[in-house]
Amino acid sequence: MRLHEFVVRRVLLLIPVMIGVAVFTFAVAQIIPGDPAALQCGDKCGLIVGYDDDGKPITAHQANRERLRLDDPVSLQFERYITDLINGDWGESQKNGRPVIDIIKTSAPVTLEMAFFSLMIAYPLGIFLGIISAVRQDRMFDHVSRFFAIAFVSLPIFWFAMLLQLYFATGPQVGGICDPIFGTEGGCFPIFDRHDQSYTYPLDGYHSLYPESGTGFHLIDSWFVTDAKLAELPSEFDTNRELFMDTLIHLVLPCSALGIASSGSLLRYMRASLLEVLHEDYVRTARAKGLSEFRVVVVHACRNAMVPIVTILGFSIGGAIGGAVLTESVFGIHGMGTVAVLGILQLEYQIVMGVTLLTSVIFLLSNLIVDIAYAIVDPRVRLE
Amino acid sequence: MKAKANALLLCTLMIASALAGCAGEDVERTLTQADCDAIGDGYTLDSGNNACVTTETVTETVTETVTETVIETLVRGCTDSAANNHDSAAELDDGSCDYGRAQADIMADYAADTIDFSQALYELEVSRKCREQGSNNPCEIVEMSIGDASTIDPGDAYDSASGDVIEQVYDTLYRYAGDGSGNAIIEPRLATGYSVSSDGLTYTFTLRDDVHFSNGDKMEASDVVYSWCRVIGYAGPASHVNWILDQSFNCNDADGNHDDNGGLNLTAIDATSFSVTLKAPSSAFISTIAYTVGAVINADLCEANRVVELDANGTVTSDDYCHAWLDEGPFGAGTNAYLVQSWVREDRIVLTPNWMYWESGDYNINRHTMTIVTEASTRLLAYTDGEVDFGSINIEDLINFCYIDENGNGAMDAGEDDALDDKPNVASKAGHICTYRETFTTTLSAFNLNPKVLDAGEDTSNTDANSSLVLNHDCSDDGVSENDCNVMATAALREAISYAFDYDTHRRVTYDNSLAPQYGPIPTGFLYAGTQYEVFTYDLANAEAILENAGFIRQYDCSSLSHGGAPTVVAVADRDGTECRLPNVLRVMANEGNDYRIAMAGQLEEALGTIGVATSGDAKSWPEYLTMYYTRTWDIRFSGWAPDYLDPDNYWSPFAGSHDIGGDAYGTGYHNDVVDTHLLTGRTSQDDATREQAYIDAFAAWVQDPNMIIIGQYNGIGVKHDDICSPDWVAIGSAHWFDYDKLPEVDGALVGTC
Repeated sequence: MRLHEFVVRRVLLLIPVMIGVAVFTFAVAQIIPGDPAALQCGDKCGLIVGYDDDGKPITAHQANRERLRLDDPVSLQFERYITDLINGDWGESQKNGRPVIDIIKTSAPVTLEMAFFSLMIAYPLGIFLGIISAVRQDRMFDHVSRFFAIAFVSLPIFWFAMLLQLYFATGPQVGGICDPIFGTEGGCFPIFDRHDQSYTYPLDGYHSLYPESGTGFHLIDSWFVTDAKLAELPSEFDTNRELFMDTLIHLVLPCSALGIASSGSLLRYMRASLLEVLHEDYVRTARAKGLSEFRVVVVHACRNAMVPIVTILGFSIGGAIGGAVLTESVFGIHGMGTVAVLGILQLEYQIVMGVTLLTSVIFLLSNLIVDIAYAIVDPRVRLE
Repeated sequence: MKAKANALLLCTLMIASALAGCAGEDVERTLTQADCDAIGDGYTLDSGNNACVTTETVTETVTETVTETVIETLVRGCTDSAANNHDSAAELDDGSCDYGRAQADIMADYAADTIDFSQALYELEVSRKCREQGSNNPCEIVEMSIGDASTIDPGDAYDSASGDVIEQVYDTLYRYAGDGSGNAIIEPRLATGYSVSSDGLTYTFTLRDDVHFSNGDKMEASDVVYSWCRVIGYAGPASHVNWILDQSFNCNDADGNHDDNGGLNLTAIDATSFSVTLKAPSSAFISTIAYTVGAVINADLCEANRVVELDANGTVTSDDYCHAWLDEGPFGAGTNAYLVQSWVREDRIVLTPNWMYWESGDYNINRHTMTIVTEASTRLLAYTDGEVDFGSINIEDLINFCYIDENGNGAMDAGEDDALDDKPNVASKAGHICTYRETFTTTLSAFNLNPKVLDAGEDTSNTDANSSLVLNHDCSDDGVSENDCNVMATAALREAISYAFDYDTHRRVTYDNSLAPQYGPIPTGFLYAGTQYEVFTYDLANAEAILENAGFIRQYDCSSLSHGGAPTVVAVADRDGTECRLPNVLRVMANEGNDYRIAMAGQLEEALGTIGVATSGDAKSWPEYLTMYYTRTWDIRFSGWAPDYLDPDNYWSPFAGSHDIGGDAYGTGYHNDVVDTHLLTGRTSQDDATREQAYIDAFAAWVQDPNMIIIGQYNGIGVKHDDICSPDWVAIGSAHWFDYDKLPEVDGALVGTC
């Protein structure tokens, strides 16, 4: 099968999967105990907020149920949900009436950007240390790196994130270690948020700062902000470079927390895989041919040892998005994870379903990429 | 930022170096004499060729000279002779120079059309802008919040996060303020006064004539009338906050569109006065319009941005009453001190000055950022590190900044920051200001007089169904053994339960002294709080005696009890004193995640168990908890209440008023005619003495027939850096940033005092 046929087939497969996910998430939303109408008004749902045509009092709770059309039969609610979905209407937030699609459009790039850069840390670090560990098997470096690998996998990610904040984002009076070394003030990195606090967005938010054709990824878009828009910013952000650096600096700690935590398992995978490969006959043959150890390991062994690493790339992307929930919370970043948590806590079914749908699409696409990558890494693998 | 960029680069290099070091081969190198010569004269190689050693003996004599430098304190002030406030005695400029014309002169010229809006705006900015300079950004405040606003449309905002922004952008005729003694008052804002007709129905307001919206439009009486009618017409679809105005007056007009500036009951008399006719006399009216829902918006701009959809017949199918436009607090919408410069949802809101703001005086804060940080540990770090000026800090972390000055010596001694129990006497550690804050947020436990059990398959949303009411008592006492009510409908049982609650322990221990006593519906510091006194205390013997006297004797087999089924009565001869008193098990509800409520529910259940009242209850998730609430499948429920407006009726009616008088917000089914009568008097009378007596009488009747345990009102400690100067704490409403100041920090010291 040719590559483009394979891709088309897998993309088409997304449609039934998305329908399945939509049905499943809708069903789960119905099963979860709780009344979204009650959550809207909390302790004050019993307040009388109006009277019906018969003069009968209407409580806030009753009014909410009517507004959210929760008294409609479930089948009707489902039909409405699917019809709207097909028409590109993902519903709107009960809290503020914003379209769910807008909420996801602004939050998803934040999470994806963070997940991408965390993988950019996790993979090189995990693979590099895994290789060294395997090559120097049972020596001091191997023991130490395995210890840290287990530690990174075992440590709760939020705790690790907090440690990074404490040591790298605060001044020495709080516990930071940066200032005496680098001469910074208040740590090397910001404690929280996606942009500097003195960074004032345009009236309609930072999205209007970026070009309409922008990617939504702040780091990329910051290069393309027009001079006219930059002129609206404070003087310390009057060039694209400064804007870019501000965005980058705010990414370092969250991505490091997520990336270093993920690198532990990658290290273990890489080490185990490479050790297995290093005992293969063709490696022995390569050595017998007099090739340098570097060439034997990097060119001959590593490529074959990478196959399982590629396999887990798809899961890593999912893991990074999942891990982003906690990381975003600790670093005060408003991404998809935060949106999902708020959606669940406030029983905002439309938002939860939207996030679930998007996450499943990302998962499927990333696995598609993995399948294609198989063929590149190992030509023996056929796209079937 | 450049320093941080360099740090990023260095960090990267360090990590790379460390990794490279780890990856590199171990190299052993032997020292030579040349290496030692390179260090300096006198160094020789040791015998093992491992180190360079020196045998030189150094005798050092140190003569220390101490020079004391006396720094003369320079007089700070405005040294620029071109400034309005030039201080000839000033030797060091402190950035306080004031330029331009006086605010009043500029506004007078603008009112007289001598200058246009852009010129006025420019001159006002020059004149009013904060110019202080210091290392701590003295003209900016960054605050951390835990939740984002829902909307900045006062017509649909009913949450405190939204109110916090709305109170900066829009103004009301009156607003809540602190009197400096812990009490709340109402002070005039856009209104200069009002009169009431003899029947108490018609209020005529007079307004300031120097108020402009942020776009320069003059604020007039028609704007107030329009704003209030809009609230009623729009009917707050997401929040239902319109009820606060709806209860007082309506705005019906001929076509029902609420767009003809007042309808039948609101009349703009001239530019600075208007009248409103109420449905019934209301002593709380001024207080209700001081809530954000009474905010005044720009009528012309709202109309221009209102989206009305009509069908083919010309019938209105939808009308947003300009909500889409008002939702994010647009330019020109309000008259208050700040504008919403930008709002990134769930991230941050930035406020900048509305230079047209009518109140005289310059701005101390040019930029206020409210940033959302949900993680408590991050808030603590950010505050401690000085990245933000203040924010919500957990009570257990406050010992880092505050202490209790137990011996009153004005300094912190050992152990004084171990705990912050005596909150009213909180003191501040260096660099911080800790403030005791009593709130009007009440915690309580409501009793359900008409509890239900759901039948199999019953629609849980059907709160009106009577089919599953638990009727297990003869309340009519007509001698017929028919059960016509629930045991919870009897005042004696509810009174007994009120004596089974350990108030003092919960206030001190469970709430770690964060709960102040509250003896009735009205919180301390609120109007007419003095009409209440302590009645209920933890007295199990009394509780048991009340039950015994009311005929609730130990007679039921406890193992036979359920929430609604028929119990087994133990034969008199077989009773051993362990029987239960009630024919059913009382369901005590608390919600997961609220450890205070869970602990209180546990204590109450245990106490009731000892006097023969069977209970059941486990913490429910918040959604489950609320669902049980509205299906009335509970008997005792821990809950809370935050004030809407500064009037006792905002507590008394929802708590103890019956459904008939628009009360009973907890759906308890409580109805006490005597209490209702007094509450109606308190609600409608314009006479202070009459109102006070009404609440005294209502309290006296209510304690005989309580429908809830009033546990206490929250208090706490707020902390901020010591460069922040703020007005008196206001327990209702929001802080107003125009009244804040931030002292500049120069050379590591604060200049000036609060």
